[in-house]
Amino acid sequence: MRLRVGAVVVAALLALALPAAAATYETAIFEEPTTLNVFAGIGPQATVWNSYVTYGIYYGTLYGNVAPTFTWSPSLAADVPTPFKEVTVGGQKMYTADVSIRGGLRWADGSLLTADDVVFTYDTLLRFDANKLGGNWPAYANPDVLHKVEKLGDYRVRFYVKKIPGLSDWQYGILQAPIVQKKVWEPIAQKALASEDPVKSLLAAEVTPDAIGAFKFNKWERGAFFENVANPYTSFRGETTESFPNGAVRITSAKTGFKWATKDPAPTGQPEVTVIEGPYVDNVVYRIYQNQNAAILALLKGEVSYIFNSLGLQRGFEQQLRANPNVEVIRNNTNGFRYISFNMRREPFNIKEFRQALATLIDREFVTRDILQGVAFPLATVVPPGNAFWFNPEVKVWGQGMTRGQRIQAAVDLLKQAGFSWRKEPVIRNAEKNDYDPGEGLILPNGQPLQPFEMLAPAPGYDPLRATFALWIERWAQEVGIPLRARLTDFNTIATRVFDEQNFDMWMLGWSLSIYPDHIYYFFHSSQSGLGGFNAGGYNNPEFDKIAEALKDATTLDEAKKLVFKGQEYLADEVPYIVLFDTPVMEAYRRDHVQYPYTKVLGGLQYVYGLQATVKLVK
Amino acid sequence: MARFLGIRLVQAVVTLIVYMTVTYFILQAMPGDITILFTQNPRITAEVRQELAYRLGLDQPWYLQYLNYMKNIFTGNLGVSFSQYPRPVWDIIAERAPRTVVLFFTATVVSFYIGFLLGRIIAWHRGTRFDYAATAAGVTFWTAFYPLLGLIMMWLFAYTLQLVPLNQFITPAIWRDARLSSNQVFGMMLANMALFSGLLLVGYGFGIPRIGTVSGRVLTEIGLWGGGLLATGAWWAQSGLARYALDILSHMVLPVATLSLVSFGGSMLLMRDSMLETIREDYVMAARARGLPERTVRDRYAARTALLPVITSLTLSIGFVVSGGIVTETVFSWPGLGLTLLEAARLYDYPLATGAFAFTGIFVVVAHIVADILHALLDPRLRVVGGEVTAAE
Repeated sequence: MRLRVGAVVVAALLALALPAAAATYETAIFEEPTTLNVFAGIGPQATVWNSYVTYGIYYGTLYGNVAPTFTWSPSLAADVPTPFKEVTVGGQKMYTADVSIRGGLRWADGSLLTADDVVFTYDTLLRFDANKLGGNWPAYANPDVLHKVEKLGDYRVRFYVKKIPGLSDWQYGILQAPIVQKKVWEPIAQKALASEDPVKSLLAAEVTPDAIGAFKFNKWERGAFFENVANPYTSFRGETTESFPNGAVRITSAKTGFKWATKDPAPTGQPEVTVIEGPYVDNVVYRIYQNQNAAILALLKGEVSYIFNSLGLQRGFEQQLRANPNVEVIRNNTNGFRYISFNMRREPFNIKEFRQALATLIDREFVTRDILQGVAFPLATVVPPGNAFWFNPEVKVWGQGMTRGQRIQAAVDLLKQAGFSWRKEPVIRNAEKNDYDPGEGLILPNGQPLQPFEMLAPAPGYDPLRATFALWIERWAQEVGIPLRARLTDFNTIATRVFDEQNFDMWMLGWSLSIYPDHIYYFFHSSQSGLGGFNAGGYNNPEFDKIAEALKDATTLDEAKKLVFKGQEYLADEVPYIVLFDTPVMEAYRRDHVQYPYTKVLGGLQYVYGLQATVKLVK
Repeated sequence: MARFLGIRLVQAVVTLIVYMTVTYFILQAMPGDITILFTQNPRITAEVRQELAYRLGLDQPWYLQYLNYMKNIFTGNLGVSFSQYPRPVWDIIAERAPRTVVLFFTATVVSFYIGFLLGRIIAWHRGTRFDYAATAAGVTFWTAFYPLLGLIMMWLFAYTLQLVPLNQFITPAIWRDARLSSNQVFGMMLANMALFSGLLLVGYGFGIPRIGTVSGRVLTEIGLWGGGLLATGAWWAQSGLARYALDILSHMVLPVATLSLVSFGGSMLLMRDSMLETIREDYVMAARARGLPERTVRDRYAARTALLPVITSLTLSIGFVVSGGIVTETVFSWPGLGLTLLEAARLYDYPLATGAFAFTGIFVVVAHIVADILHALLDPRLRVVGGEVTAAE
């Protein structure tokens, strides 16, 4: 009773302190942003939390990927860039392309976005050297490609590049750099350049961030919450984006008169999704919780309407969330995969049939369906089906639809084909009915017994799903005499041994991918197989290298798509990676608080920043 | 006393050097470094990782890194954080420490006070049902699985009964237009705590014992507490910051209650054992023989001496207050130094991790020295003999 009285008193005191209610989109985040400085945020402090809360919301890019289809389209730009022209600059052969900027776009202080801002942004990245700024900056201003950006007029700029860049470096790289406001950053950049350590000085600069998006910075109460408020000058308000079933996109703005649509494919029929840009809320508050339990309780209690989490919510909360009639639970495909790979510099991993045999033995469906109870879904390609435009559905899947006995039979056949033998060969009496005796002691084609080797895999504490898969793979491999031992360890040990030391036999990890699948180049091209490179397995195939190089240099979507499809087929046959599975991203929101224009989107709502600019409040 | 202090200081410095060295090498023993975290992004090339390693000094040999680190520690410059490059480590510690200290100091004092009171009573009434019940409760909570207890407390009192705020240390709606940061208010609360503690220390240490009559002592005690609380209330009321302090206090209720629940058993049992030893002493028997009331014998004769180990334990615990508690800070979303340490270790942020360790280490070492001095001051039977604190024969 006394406790109740105390609580009432406290509640009354708190109520007195509360200001008038604003239309607030209350959200939860699990980690605090670390900086308001976009150069640090995209650079050495690159975290997903910084992007959710700061630079992903404040800044615009010349071009972007329009959700939910992620179609490449102009954003701050008025149209697609002009085709490249060859020019000579200071005796050097270069290429130029011009970009027109939309008129009438205003920064949060009311001033117009002009070519000066665009030129300043790229000039700053080049002067400070994107490689030194670190993080994601090199992808936006690769100094090996970008030479300079020149102002042609108030709303037109010219890019000078050292070579004709592919889609990866151009449309999905340079042209997607966040544009900063010259007025805010020029004095900071000048001061930094005059200092002893210009990069450190720029990264350390404390700044009230500029913004051109739907929201601008308002308050950061460290450790507790972060708040953005609606940007009164946002020029995107009322802009309509229509996404069509054929992948076409049409953008129209009655306010600025801006109109743009994809030409190939052109919009036909009725749009599948229509999104009208807001913001429809006065402010967004991001409450910082240190664990999912707390955030889930806050969602159930109604303190927050949505929880940001790049990994989605843990499956264990689903029942609890579904039990609340005001909470909507959604699932979306992710753009990533978990996989195993090999050190292809060593025997037997350099033998294609060995890799194919192991791929055949792995029954993804069994583990995901029967063991993991549907928490994960099977996946077999290096481009996930969720990334629909780039996914090749015709890719061969080893062992697809086979029984255990049939898998063993197929694996034995593949190994024999490559010259392997056994101390005791597996005996398959009836493959269909799984009537077989396991084998022992696989012998290499050179007559030497295959020595036991280890597969580094994440321990259950880091990822129970991968740990489970690893143990089943160990078991299946040993059934055909492959002396594979799963060594469950922490991520850092795996990453260090694989990427920095290249001291391993096999490993299991996962990737989150970008929309444009240039990872096909980074993961498998022979040039990336040095220490620290992403082709840690040392896959080296001149024929595939040609495909990967062509993909990196591809300048049209059609050309790139053909190469990505071809690459997928090639990799499915060569098996440098055995792709295993991925998990859908599960999220939850308060349906009695908020309404989203769509909830079906690759990577979930978190991937599109919780749709802050288009969410509407229900009450 | 001076010699004793000198020896203790030298020991403290040596301890600190060993501690910081061990800490450094344990952190360095982890596989990889912060650049390994960038291997998850295929667009961050090996060159960019190398550039970052160079910028953070990770390309230098380990002994140079170690010497540089020790130099930083002893010059008071803890360097810059790796994970929040180039933010100074001191800046991060200064941001997190007040939250941690306010919460854990309060919880420590509350739990020790409860433990002291209960320990005193159950020792006096040993063998009774109350003794058994209190001991059972103390041991049960002492051995409870703390994260689960925290979640249960949160679910029951904050979510179901809605008596206290659910989580975090402030309510965003209240602080949205605040002219001060929560850290500044935490700072004021710390200053307030320090002043109040100082007042009580002076009162109990020098004032109250010199008052001859029991009624005089009781009145002085009431005046001390009442005056202190009134002055505190008046200051906060006129400052216009009372609502912010109240907001923080309301958020503190649940973590403090949970922490106190878990840890009061330790000090209660310590006090109980200490009391049981003390009440067999001759001077306690003599007090009884003089016909003094039981309560006076218990509180003025037995409890005062029995308090010594509890005071020592409290002093040492206060030293650890700055390290916070990872579980508490996680469960109650109260990001302080405990979580900072965890995050720093997870992200290979050596400067931040070692900085936080150094900060904690210094406090703990100082607490040890204070405990030694207090012990020597409080127990008249103790004398410094040859640099050692021993019982006089």
